[in-house]
Amino acid sequence: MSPPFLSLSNVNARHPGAESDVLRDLSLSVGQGEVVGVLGSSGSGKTSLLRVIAGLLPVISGAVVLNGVDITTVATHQRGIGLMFQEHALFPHLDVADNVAFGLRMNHVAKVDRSARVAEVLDLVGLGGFGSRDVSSLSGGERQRVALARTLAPSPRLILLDEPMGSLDRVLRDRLLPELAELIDQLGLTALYVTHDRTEAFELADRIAVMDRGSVIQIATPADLDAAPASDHVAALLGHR
Amino acid sequence: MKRFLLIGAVLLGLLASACGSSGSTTLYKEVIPPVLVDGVLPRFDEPVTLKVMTHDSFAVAQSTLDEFEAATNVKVELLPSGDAVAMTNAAILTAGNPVADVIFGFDENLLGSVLENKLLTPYLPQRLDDVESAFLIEETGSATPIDHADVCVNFDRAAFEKSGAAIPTDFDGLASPSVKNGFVVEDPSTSTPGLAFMLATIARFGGGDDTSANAKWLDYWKSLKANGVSVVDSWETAYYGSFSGGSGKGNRPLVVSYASSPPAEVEDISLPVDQSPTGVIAATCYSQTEFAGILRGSTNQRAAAAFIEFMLGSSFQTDLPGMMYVYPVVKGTPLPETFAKYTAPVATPLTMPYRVVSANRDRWISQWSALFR
Amino acid sequence: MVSSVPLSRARRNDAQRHRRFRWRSITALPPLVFLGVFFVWPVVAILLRGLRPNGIWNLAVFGEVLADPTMQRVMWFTLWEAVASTVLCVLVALPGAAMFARFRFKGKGFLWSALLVPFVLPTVVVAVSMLGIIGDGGVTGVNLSGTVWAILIAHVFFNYAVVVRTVGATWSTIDPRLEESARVLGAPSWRVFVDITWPLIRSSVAAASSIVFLFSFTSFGIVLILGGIRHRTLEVEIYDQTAKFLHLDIAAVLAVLQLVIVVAILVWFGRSQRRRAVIFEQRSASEIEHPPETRAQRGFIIANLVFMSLLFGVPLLVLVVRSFSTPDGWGFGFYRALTDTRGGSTSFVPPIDAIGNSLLFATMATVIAVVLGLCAAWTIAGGGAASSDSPLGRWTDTALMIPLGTSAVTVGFGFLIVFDEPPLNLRSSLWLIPIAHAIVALPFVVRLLVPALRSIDPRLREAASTLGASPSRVWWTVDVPIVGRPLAAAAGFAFAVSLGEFGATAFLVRPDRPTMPIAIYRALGRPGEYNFGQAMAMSTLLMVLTVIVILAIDRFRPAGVSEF
Repeated sequence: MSPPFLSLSNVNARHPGAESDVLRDLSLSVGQGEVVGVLGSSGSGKTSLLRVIAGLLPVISGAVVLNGVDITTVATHQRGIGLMFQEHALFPHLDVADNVAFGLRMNHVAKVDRSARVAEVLDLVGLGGFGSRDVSSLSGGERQRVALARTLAPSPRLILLDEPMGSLDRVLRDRLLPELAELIDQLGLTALYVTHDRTEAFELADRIAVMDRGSVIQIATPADLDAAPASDHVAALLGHR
Repeated sequence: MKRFLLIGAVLLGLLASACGSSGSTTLYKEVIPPVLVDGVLPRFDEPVTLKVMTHDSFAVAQSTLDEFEAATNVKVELLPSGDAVAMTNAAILTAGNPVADVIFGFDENLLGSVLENKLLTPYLPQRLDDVESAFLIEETGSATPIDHADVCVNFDRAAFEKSGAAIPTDFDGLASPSVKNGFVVEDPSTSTPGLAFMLATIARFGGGDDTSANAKWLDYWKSLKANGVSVVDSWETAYYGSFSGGSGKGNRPLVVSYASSPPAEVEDISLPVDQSPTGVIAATCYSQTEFAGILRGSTNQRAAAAFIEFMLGSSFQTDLPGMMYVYPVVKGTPLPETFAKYTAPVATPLTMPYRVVSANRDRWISQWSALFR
Repeated sequence: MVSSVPLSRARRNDAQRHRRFRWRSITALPPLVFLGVFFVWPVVAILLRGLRPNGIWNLAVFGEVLADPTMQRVMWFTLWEAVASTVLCVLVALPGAAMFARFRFKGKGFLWSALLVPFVLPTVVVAVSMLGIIGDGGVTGVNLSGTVWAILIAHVFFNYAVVVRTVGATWSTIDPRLEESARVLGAPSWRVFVDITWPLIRSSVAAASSIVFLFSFTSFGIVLILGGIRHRTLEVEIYDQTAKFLHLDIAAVLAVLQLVIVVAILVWFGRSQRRRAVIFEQRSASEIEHPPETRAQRGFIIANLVFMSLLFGVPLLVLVVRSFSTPDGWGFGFYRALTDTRGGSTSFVPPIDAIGNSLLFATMATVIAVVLGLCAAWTIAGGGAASSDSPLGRWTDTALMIPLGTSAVTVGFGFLIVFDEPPLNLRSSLWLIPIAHAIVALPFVVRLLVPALRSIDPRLREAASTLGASPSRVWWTVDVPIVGRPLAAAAGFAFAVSLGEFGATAFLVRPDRPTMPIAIYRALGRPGEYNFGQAMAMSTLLMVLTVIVILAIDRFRPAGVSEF
């Protein structure tokens, strides 16, 4: 079996000033090209997990290893990981093209190549020609796609998605979810997908990790999870009666 | 429409000032008749409010003013108006339609402007006979001398004791290397004591007619400059900021201040001392007299005249040293203990005729400024 | 046949807008009339006295003054020290703003409020304290008195709070996820600032800079006391030409020049502020601030706090320490001496009287400033977000700031010549003082109220109207409650400004009702340990009173958004 692409070993993390750890002795392995869904109720530490991997939350103990390299203490901007927030966090003072190009600029990609790549990625997410649009004029679905384009443009090795469908309505979600799944598949991306919605997790993920109070309490394929939830809590999360 | 509202406000201002009053220019030729009856202040049947325009350093005991009110039925309302120069200029600006009835606190340096601008209605106080002749001016009755102060260089006793250097006794001593970087003066263009000191140097060294940059008094200032004299904007900055003696927080032992500063330093010290922590270099003293007058256009002339007489009376004159740290002009007025003990009245202070000062002051200040700016 | 068509919704909206517009034109009147009578009229009168003596225009004096090398030096110096002060203040205060925006730490609330104290202290007090540190014989041994550096440092001292509170407030509402996204996309910290943070705070930096520039440009007490004789600004020169030499013609030229430059700067800043303003979704500050996470962040906070203690703590501490250091040892001697009547001198200001007068005038000034400010703010922003940029609003905003850029002595002397006849025979009236204070406080009141009014969702008003409320009722039931908190904050600020106001009223002919700053100035006007000590004691009292008022204001402020 090939070594995991991403692995967290016994990671403890705490928000500064908080009284208790938000991640407790958490261990997780993700294979290359795998999509792992992270399911859990609020406060379970799902977002903190992503922040630790991205380097936005410091680790107290434990290690984060990406593709064989220990990145536990590496600065955020040097990790080469993509992160997409629920609120999309588009830069309001830049237009769509500049938003998408940001990561490329930071990696010193030449301007010519940047424009080409931006156009390519916008086409990929179905927003061809939107480059000069003002972000404030976009609809919810369009913003989500720009955020995705921005995350994908620098070709990150790993992408982290924090409830990316959270601010969209059901109709839009139902339309965009399969598109997202196809895109991830097409690009062969390794992804961690945080959600509280069972349907999204089941549709996208190869495996689902269930989190509760800062640890992974069960990780299995969707089918295995459904068949044998490890506890009543997991069952409740899965929507079992 | 919206823009017009703003333009309207501006137009309102312009219109109003175009039509506005510019002050009456009638010349009052009358002289106010004497008001004392057998040497006693008159009493008015109806209560009168008398407005007295003063500089910010004016102080008199409230009980003294109450005494005046009890005797005459005239209530005094004080209007502090900035320093002496600003006050005088405010009066000039409102000549003929004055803000107050009486103006007090302009010295000889301002007397010229006051008389030129015909600010005052003449009044010859009956009590003028009590005033020392040294303080009387030619145009008796135009303005009345009330008090005098001497602007002198003060020194810090303790600093000189410690350093062992000799305390300078005259102007030349101030430019000697033993007190290098130890002297602070005020800018004559912004400070009254500063101006007085500059005039003192002109009186002492001469060359006031010399319009060149090599006038004798300017040479003296060059020697002061070479000796590291510090020039600051005001008395407060000089005394509290740069002077090291007494209540000063600085580190220069020589400052241009008043002859009455040493007794002021002693006032609040609870333990009795033989000497004030500061002293005065008598040879550098320059005399300044302060005057009062009745503003032309006042509608309370008799009450104003009564107040002028009162200011020359013994209660007010006795009050002066303790309240305003100035000396009385009336002969024989007793001085408070601290004055008697901690300072001696300067026998022959320097002085210059006010007309000469009036005519040349601006030029002298320019010459001085050219050296220091 | 055409049947009658019911009034379309668009036309109904138009009617409503038209009604609101009429109201807003009416509310524009009180502040404009107030300024017209108590500012424009006196200033124009005194300027005319200088430029048109005896009814004949003397405009040649413009040429004379502009050609005079001394005057040119003064003008140039004023301009560049104002620019230097602004740049220095912004550079030095940005880290402070960052600290307040991002982090939570012990004493943060108190410090945020306390920073405003220097802004409202009388200049004479601050200048004397600074002399105690960087003056001739100051504790540091470094003598900067008479140098430009002393002036710049003092300007930073006064205006630090303006930048920190204005920029900090905006910065604290920026979603940290924007910066996090940038970091994840590969931006090192400095790039995050340059590419993401700066574009978003740029317009509030412009707003703060315009105020700092204004105050530095018209600085008087500081330049006079700390700048020595070699450095004079326009303001100092105008004072001398007016009050000392009565050269009203020269003074008028300089005053006009100062006005022109001030208006030009205000308009330029205003325009650049609007052009660069980026509307972004704002988060509440409490969501964003967090305790420091890394050593570097802790270090950053400590460095800022150390800097602030040096800049503010030391001079103010010097003040407080001196107020307790009596010739008989440490104690309340000077405070007790405040009540010593000095033989019943008329110049003695019983501290109760001084405090009472200060509070009385501050209350009167606050009422005037708040009532007029509310009218002006309504004119500028009463239409809610939709009205963001009406020309009337812009002009009113600029117009209100102009008095801050005009020399106080010009206004003061103007008062003397215009208010000399009934019914406006106000020359020695008590009312002059609160009126002068209100003129100074007004622009700040407006700047605090405008964002609040602008943020009122017009749908709330529409809902009220449809439920049957008349325009005035809508105002009472929708606008007033929402604007209540910022209104309280604005009132508090006007109060604090009035407490510390010295320049505008020190040089007027005035009735003998001294306020605390004037009492302090008087105490400093005569020698003696006790005089100096009492000045320090009274200053400390003023400081404490100000801190209390400001702390109270800040409780009423809505968290986060507001222009300074």
